[in-house]
Amino acid sequence: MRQALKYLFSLNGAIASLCLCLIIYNIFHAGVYCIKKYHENLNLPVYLEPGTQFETFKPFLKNEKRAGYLTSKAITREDNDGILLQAQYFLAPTILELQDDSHLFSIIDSEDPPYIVKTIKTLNAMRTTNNEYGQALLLRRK
Amino acid sequence: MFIIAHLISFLLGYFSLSLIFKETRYYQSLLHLSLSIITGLCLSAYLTFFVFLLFNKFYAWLIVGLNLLSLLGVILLNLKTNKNIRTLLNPFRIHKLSFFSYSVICAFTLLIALYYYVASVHPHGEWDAWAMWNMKMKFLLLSSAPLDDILTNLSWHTHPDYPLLLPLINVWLNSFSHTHMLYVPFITCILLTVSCAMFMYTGLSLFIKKGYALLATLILGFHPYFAFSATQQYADILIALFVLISLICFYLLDKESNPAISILAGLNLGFLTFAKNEGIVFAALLSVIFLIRLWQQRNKQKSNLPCYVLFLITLLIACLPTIIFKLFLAPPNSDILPNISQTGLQMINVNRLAVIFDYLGKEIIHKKWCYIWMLILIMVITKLFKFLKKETLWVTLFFLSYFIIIIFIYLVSTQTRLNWWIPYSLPRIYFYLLPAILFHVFYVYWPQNKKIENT
Repeated sequence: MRQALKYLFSLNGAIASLCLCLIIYNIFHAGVYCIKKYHENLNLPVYLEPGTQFETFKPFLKNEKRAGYLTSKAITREDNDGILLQAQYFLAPTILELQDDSHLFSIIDSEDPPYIVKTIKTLNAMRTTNNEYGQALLLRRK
Repeated sequence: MFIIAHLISFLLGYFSLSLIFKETRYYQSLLHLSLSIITGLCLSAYLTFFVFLLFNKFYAWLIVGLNLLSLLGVILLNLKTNKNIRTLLNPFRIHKLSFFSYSVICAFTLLIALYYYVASVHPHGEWDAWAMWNMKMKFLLLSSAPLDDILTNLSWHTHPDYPLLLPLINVWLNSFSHTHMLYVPFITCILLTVSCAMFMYTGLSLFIKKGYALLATLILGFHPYFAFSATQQYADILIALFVLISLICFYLLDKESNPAISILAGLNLGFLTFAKNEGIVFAALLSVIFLIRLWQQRNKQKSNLPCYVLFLITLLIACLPTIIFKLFLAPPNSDILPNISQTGLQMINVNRLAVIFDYLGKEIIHKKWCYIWMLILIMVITKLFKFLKKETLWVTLFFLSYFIIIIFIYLVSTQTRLNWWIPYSLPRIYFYLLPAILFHVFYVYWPQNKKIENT
């Protein structure tokens, strides 16, 4: 008992006690995090794969090696909503070429009606399918 | 079904390491078992890489066949070197378990449960998981010309210059499925996270009392942000793991010059270079300290070949995929290298340096780290002299050098704004350095065992 107390009041003992306190603190926070996530996810039982909003596009692009991705949004390193990368991930192995309208199929992602109209007219394209998030798949008319 | 792939990798790693370890010492048995799955997965990933190099397509039967052939080869090599089955199965001998051992097993069971739950909170990983690592895995599995697509055709957002160890590990594990399985990266990240905690305990208990080793493991293991970051399905967990294993090898070599550990260190650093671009920097710095230390000990060595030669040869062989990838396949990295001809040197100024240091300091005291960095700082400050002793100075210098390199890269890179880049990248840097720094601090701080094999 005496040795244990001597150890506790030494520097090593103090650090060991600090470590133990940190472990308890970490376990508490890990527990809080798990409980919080459990309650958040009660209303979200299904985890959707990134890019699931492009599911309806997949049958059209199944045999396409490349497709265009046309957007009026900024796609820079810092200013990027990730939709292009989600689409690329979900539609793999079809390569999506940013701002390249030379392909048979192109995905248009814009909330700017003049841009959408201009793009459809320029490509002489028709809408094959779309999702409810503002993206559509265009097919060039022959 | 992909559990079979894990088993094949484990056996491949186990029997490959059997060629290196002579099992004369217990600590070698412990390391042997712990390292088998990680070494095996990396070797399988290397074999997968060579199939892609030759054929530029995913052939599951070829990849599986090559792995099985390699497994057969290493088993036969083991039997040829006069090892009988009893010697080969030495590490599996179950020693009598004490109460403390049961506590460790309970702790790891809880950790596995925690990591599974945290991983299931983000089952598809975070941004870079689906935007880079898992995307590359999908292209490797599904594309008709995967290397061309990944390295040339995909958008620059996917960092085509990054090495492919993690996607290749996942591709190998997917070889036992007809369609790509998103469950594979999920299980891989949990396995790597548990391995990190396991190496923390295994490594530290070789040098200090098991109680203190368990303290460090629990501090790391139950850390909420560590658990979250490790299960993001990024390659950062591979960096954390390999740097930790490298430190264990370094301190083992410090105690005694062992050819087996030299080979293991070279192998590990080779794997590290193929994990991520940062791995190349780590491997370069660690190679320097390994070579210096091995050169200093060259007169104490009993092997035919000096340990530093064995280390270099193994490192070069293990770096071969990285050398091929970086020299002949990958485009140059445009993120880090400064474009001095256009920007000049005006970015190197006190203002930028102050911003960087401000972020570095603020990250340490951020609440997500749950005061772990404060604990590390307290331990370093209270026994600062021990961190500057001859045997520990090299590792302390290694960490300081890496931080200097990070500060330099932030200082000279003009590709992005500092105020955007640092908050995004710095937590990840702290995350993959945390296990190694914690290991080093606990190794230095607590009294060490008289012998390595203190079981």
